[in-house]
Amino acid sequence: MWSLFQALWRRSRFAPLERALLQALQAHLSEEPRAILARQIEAVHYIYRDKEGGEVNLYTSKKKPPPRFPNQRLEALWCTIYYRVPSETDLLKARLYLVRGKLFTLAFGRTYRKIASQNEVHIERIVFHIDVMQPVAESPPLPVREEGEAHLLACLPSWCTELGHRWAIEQVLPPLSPEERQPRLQAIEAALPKDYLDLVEVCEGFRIADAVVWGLSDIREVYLPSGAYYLIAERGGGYLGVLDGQQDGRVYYLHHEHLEPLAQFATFAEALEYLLSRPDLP
Amino acid sequence: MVAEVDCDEATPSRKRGFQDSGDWFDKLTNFFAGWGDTLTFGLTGKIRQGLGVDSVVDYNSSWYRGGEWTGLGHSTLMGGAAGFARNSALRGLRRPNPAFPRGTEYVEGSHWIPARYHWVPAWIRNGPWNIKYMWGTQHALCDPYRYKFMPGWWKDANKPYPNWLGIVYRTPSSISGACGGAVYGGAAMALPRPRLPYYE
Repeated sequence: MWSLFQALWRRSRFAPLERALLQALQAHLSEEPRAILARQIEAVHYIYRDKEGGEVNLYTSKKKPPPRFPNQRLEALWCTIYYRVPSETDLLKARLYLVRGKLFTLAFGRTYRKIASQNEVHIERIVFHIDVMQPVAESPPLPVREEGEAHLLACLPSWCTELGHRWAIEQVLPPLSPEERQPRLQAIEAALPKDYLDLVEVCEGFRIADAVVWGLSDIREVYLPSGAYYLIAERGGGYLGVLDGQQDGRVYYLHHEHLEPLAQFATFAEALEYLLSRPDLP
Repeated sequence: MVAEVDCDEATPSRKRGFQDSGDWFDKLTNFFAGWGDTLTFGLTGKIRQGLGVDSVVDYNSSWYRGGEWTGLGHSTLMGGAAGFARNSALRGLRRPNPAFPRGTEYVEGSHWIPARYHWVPAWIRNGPWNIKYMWGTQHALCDPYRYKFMPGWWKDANKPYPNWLGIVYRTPSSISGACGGAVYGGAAMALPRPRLPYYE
């Protein structure tokens, strides 16, 4: 524990809030993961901060990489830290993500800019989502095999088939099993649109023209000043996403150049049609 | 004792003059020589000298100067057009890349003056000369707003460029091409010419 404490203070490049959360995290770890975390923090040589969205990325040297946790999933949500600071009345949360067994992202959300310099942080609780000491190996996604998708095309919902008359649908992937689907859906802290949920029961996303509808296993979060969004479709710099914490299943159109969503839709089908019709993409 | 050399003797056959001759053929010869010398970075001048016909050109004439400036404008326009053509040729391309969904990376349009600057008129923001087409990964590296949408494992492997470098990379090809053309033309104009001192 002392080595982690030393690493945090020696590395003054950490903001007080970041330091406080990492110290609280190490207090909840057993000896072995704590030692690995300390080495990883010590090896941080560059911190990239997106202050508007509240995303902090920790870069370590590639020549002298720190030890990694045995769980080396390509990308994994490690834990959520719930905390309070005196200046904010709400309970705040920060999500910590691992990349190949290394702590890489601290996601604070839009309040980050206001509270980054706060020294007084009260940790309410820490929820761990994975066991970092459980060995898991994963490599970057492999190219998609297109064979055997004909029968999947026939299973798509009617709104997909209608869109398929205007834009070609290909690379339809088989759906996840209900056992695989359930934990992924539970990890998403928002209500996904009903028609998207129907879709992931019959397939794990597809390509439509130059857009891609993501399956459950592809969904990831992006942190913008207006909140965190779960991305579910992409077309060359334009995205469809669902707002974190929202329960009405609305879908937002996000463009990377804009800090706020540009449009919102009641159904995924409407949003996808809008995305495909945008003349400025990709 | 220093011998005085008559300028006429030193370059007896070269045309020169503070005032242009009244002959339109001479004027046009000087103008196109200046234009060509700038565009070819002095190569046409060397060829004239090699053929022994360079004496017909008056490097001091205002028509030759005018030709040089026309050449500068021409090289600037050519650079801009080449950049515009390169930009247009990139649009719509795709290539395999596991960092993107379904393993395909597209060429994307990046605004030089950001589209979120609503105080800039839309016709400027969305004009073709304000948009640079580049591969999605390159776009992400030079635009922090695009970078945040990339997967974490890709971000871990690719640190973003500093802001100043990002702006340089996002400069539309038509503008960078025009700047390159202007530098080329300016350098060509700065080449030493066999000019004579002005005299009356």
